[in-house]
Amino acid sequence: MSLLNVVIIDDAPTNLQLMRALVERLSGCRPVLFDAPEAGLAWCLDNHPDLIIVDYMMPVIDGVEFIRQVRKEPRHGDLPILMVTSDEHRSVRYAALDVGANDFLNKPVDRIEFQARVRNMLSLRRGQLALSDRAATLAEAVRLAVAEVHERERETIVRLAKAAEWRDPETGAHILRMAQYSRLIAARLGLPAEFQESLLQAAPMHDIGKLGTPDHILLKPGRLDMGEFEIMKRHTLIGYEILRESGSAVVRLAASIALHHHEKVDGTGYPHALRGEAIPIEGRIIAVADVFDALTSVRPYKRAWGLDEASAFLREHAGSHFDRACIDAFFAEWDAVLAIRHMYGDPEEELLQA
Amino acid sequence: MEKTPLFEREEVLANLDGDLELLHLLASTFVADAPRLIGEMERAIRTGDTEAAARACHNTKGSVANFGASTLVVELKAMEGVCRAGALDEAEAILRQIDLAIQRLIAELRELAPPPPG
Repeated sequence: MSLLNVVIIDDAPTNLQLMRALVERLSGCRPVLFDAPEAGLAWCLDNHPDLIIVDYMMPVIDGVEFIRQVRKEPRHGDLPILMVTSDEHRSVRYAALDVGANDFLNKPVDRIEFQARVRNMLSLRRGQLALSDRAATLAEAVRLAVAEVHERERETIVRLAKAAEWRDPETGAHILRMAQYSRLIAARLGLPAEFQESLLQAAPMHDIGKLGTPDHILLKPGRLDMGEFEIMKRHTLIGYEILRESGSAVVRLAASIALHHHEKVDGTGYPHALRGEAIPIEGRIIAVADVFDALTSVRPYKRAWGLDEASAFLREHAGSHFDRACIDAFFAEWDAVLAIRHMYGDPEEELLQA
Repeated sequence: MEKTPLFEREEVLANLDGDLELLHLLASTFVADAPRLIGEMERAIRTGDTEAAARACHNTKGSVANFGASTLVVELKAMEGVCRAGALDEAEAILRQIDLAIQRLIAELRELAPPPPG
């Protein structure tokens, strides 16, 4: 165990030497001496004092003011402080207690009394330190436990998204790419890092409602007729039903994404034909990420569009289908978009294109 | 008539648990510091700063008390009260007595402690 710092502040050198000698005789601590209160105060605010012994009658900063200043430092709220007094008026002692002195030492210093009080205060201090170590250990244990809970939650979400993939002709690589694009857009828009991370985790579940879409519609190779398309649209509502009112903030975000990712800012989207900022930001972001990746991927009913063609489509529909700010954010991160395409490329598509 | 010594050797040494080395250190520290203590009292009285004068008396009393010096402590305490009351003329007269007493205490301590080197 490291030595406890006993800081002694007294402008009278004889008293300072006497108290130093008495503290040195105690085990487990070391004296730190100051004959000027200003220097002592600066040290106490920048370092780790374990006990302060401060004289009352000093020039510029007296003992009461010294204690007041020390107590302003949040770390020193519980720090034991003794004030040295001789025959000061009772009001001085009251003022010292009022600003947070723990006890008093009498001058001239009586060895037996001085050492007993210092020992008591140091034992109090050791208790405080042990308690705060214990609190830190517990806080760390809680942090690890919470991290594990989050990790399991994340895993559950990934498995849910995987389950949805089995029902969807779209590939796993599509889901990874659109999730990454979403995070890029959110970051560029200056949204909080925590939201960006949640979006990355939630985005893969945007089409989970397709679990409720009948096979003959979901797997139909050609274009859907009007009736079929109406049924297809319902995957947004089904996804929302599956995910809504979760205890997990990420899953609640995924519910909103499932519901809103086919809305368009001009109010021509589905299921609720919301306009502009009535569509939550996650819905507007995912719309861009999802459409861009769908356009540039092969689907049973379409070829993969080239990058120029897909970019032109997005730009052309900024302000009608897509939120303009999301489109701007997406193109501002174009190099990162290309890097994501490269990293999460679709092996099958590359074969098809070769 | 031989005056009673100001330095109360037995009591002081008992309080230091018989540590002669510490006693020597305290004595030489006080001897070196005494001119500053007296100077502060003089200066404060000369400049008419009653608060500083009272504080200087108080501090001198605190240092002197480490060596017993009961009569000197009583005088300093009285002088502190006189200063605080603003009677600096009276304080100046007391200071002359006190200066003499401090010189006597210094002499007693010098007998005990070899003068600090240098």
